[in-house]
Amino acid sequence: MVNKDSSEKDSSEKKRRKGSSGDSSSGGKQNKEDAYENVIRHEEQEAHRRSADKDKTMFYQTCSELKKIFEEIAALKKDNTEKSNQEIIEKRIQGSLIFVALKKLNRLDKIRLRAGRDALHKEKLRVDSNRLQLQNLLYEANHLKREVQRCYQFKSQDEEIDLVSEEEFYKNAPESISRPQKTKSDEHARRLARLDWELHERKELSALCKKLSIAKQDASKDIGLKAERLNSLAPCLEALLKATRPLQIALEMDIEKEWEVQKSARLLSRPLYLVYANVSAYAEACDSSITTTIEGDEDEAKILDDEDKCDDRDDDDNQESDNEDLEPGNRKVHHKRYSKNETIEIRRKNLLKPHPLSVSLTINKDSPHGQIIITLRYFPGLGFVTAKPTIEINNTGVAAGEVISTENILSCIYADDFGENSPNPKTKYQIDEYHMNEAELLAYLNEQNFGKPYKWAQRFCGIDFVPDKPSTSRSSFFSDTVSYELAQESVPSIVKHLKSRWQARLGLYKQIYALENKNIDLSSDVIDVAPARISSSLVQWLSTTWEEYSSSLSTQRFIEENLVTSHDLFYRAVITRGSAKLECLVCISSDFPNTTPIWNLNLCWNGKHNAINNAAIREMEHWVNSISTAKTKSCILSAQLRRAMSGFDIFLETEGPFYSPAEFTQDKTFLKAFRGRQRSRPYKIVQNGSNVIYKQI
Amino acid sequence: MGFSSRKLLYNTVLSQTLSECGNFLFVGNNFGDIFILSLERLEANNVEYDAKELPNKSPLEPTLIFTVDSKAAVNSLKFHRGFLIVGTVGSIAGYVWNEDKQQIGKKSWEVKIPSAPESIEAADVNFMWVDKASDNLFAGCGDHAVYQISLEDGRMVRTFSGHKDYIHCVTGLENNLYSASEDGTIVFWDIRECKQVGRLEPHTNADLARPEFGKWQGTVSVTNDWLICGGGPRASMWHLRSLECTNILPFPEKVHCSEFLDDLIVIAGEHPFLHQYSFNAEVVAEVPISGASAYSVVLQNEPIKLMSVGGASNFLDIYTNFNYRDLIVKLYSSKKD
Repeated sequence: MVNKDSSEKDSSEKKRRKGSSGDSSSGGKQNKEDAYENVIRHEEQEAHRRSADKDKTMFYQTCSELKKIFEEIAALKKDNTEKSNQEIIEKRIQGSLIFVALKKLNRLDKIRLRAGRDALHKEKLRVDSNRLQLQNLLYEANHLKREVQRCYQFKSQDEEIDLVSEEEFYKNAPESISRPQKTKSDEHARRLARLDWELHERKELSALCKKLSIAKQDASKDIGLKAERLNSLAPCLEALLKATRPLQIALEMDIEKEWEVQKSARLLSRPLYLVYANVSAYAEACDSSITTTIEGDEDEAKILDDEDKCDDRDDDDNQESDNEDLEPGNRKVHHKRYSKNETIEIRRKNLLKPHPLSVSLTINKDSPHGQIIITLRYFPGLGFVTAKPTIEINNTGVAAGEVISTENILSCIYADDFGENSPNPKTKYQIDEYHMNEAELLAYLNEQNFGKPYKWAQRFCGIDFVPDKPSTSRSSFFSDTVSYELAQESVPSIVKHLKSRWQARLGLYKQIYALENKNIDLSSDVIDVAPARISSSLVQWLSTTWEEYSSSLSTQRFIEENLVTSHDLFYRAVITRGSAKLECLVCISSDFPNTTPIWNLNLCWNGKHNAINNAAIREMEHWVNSISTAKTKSCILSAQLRRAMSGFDIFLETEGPFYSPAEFTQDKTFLKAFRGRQRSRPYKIVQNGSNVIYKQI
Repeated sequence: MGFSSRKLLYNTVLSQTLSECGNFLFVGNNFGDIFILSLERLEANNVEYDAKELPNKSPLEPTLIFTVDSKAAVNSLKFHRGFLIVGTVGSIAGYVWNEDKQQIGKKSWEVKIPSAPESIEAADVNFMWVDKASDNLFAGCGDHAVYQISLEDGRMVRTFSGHKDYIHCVTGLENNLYSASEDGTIVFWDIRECKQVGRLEPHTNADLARPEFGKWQGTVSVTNDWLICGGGPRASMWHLRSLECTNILPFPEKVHCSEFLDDLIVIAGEHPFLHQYSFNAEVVAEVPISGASAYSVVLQNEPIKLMSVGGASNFLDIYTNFNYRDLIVKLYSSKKD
């Protein structure tokens, strides 16, 4: 069949060759290959040209034709006749032709398939290459984006340069640099212009700086030269001074001594310096009985002063660590050298150490009655001043001595100022650190003979504690709270107060001294003008204690009303007449003579009577206590004693007749023994002509 | 000692009286001041007070302090027909009481007590009693006499003289007047006839006399049948018709005040307790007082039931149920001036 086919093909090819090209001149092998090539090309073209659908229908048609021929042949073979053989041959030819056509169709199909595949492959390649290109482009785009970002983030050095503000720039810079017509609109150009200007300016300034530093060096050199010359003058001056000394002695001029004092005054701590300066000035101007002196170790003060200076210089660096410690100097050296406990102990000591120099005021110097010396010490750590009085007086009685005792002579210069609290609100926290309380601190101060931190002493020295004023560092502490004005303002009044206190105490001392020795003149009196005949007598005048005073029931009234406090002075006087005894508890306020002494009367006669259980004694006490000090400072106690004694007499003389046997008889003249519903007694003395009579209050 | 401190410590209440409406209490003292207390306010406070809380709260204070005369004590006080009648030294004066403003107005009248030529002191007006029916005021004075003053025209109508010492207390009933004196007698007077109709001398009674306290009679109170008096001698109860001492009241100290309270007798004096007795002289109650001595007791049942006791103390004791002290008024406050 194949041979047949191929022969058929050949024949058809030949036919086609004849039909299409008609060119038979090309012969030989080459010709044959060419033809093949041509055929292939031709078929390819044909396959391209012809529609595949039509070929499909043609294929079906051809197949059905072939089938019909096979059926016909089959039918003819059954006949098996000659004629039919003939016809079979015929049909075979026909069938072969159809077969050729089939083959042709098949070939066309194959070509088409291949062409399709080729096209697909070609497309695929193209897509791949495009894809690659796309990737490349994306990558490139990313890269570029990053570059752009980097550009955006770029920091120019010029941004760190501080430039003058725009307005200033346009105001000061010359037109050549600022070029406003251009830079106004263009920000970049403006920036450049401003940088330009900055550079220009800075260059000029650095040149100026150089010039000035040269000038400074010159000046310092000059100063050095001059200082040297001054130093060389000193020995000459000293020699001159030495030469004038005989003259000074001859003329009794203490110039040099004064210089000495001023030199040590300069070493004083600021509060004490203020008080020293102010009081000396005040004494010189107004009151010659006051003198001021500086005492203490000058060398130590000098060391402290120097340390203070260098301390101040590096204070800024150490401020944070130093805040809790206010003692200047010493500290930093010790910090590293000692263990923690020792450091605390040292710091505690430093805190509680007074400034080495103290100021002493002498009031009523060289007066025959005695003088008082007040020593003021400043505690730089605690920031307050203490005052310690010293008394120099000739004669002292036992009870009287207490009046001028150093304990309380300075308390209550201002109301409620007993020196029992630290005036500095910070103190509590400062000493807390060392496990001390205020009472212990004050006991320590007392033990060391430093006196008490009275409020007036702070004002005296110009220290003003305002509780809510924050003063964190030492430097601000000094500048804020030590005020020159305050010191200046308060010095005269405090000096006057101190003087009057001292005078009052001296007066009180005299009164009590007299009472103690029962050396009182009872007949003359400033208040109750009339001379009185007093039958009772004072047998005892002793000082007593707060404990004893407050333990009495009848004194509770005074304590409750705050008329009597533990800071006052207490005395016990005993008056007797016959079997009756009057015990008087006397309280002299520490701010005497502003407050009258308060008497409390207790009568022992037929039972115990006092103001609580007996209205008559209450009235007597009222009478004793109603003398005012205003006009009778010097004899208040004896006046009160006199009232107590005459009241005692009157009580006994009005009460006595009721008892039998009558111990006390009427000795004094009174209009009525009793008056009014309260049956008050004639305690009051009046002069009626030449007679002295007693009447009700 | 300053004047204000002295006032605090030595204030002595000498007299008290209640206003007609019964809502105000007037208290006079030795410094010449009158304290005005609103009883309604005290009552209101009293409700809020718990007995336990009392010590913690600040003491009550008077609404107003009115100074009559800083030199003379307010010895006696009476209230009558809108007037506060104030007896000081040598004078009796009437002040208008302004109920709405709660203020004492100006002095509207004054009667001077005539002083005897030989006396160098003006006479105290120790006690006053008003006969409400006849508008007559009876004042027992320091010059040994009782004066009858007509409140209509301020005329001194009668003088009851006969006592040998100053008068402590005056009271009356219908046409009779009773006066207690320092001379130790209680004298009964007939008001219309102005003469003595009887007298008691308790110090002559051996059961009553306490010679160490003196013979003076400090107080007298009467009802239709009974009279109580006391002073230096013991407090005693007398039957008015027979003039016999029926009961001796066991008050241990000097007597300054006596009152009838329903079926009880109230006695106060120089003793830290006020005593209440039944009519057969049994002690019913002993209530504490603030001062060393009581000089004035006032009491009322309507509109606010209370008894107020003042004496030698800056505190006024108020008893709203008569049995225990439930309010203490601090008259001068201890604020610093």
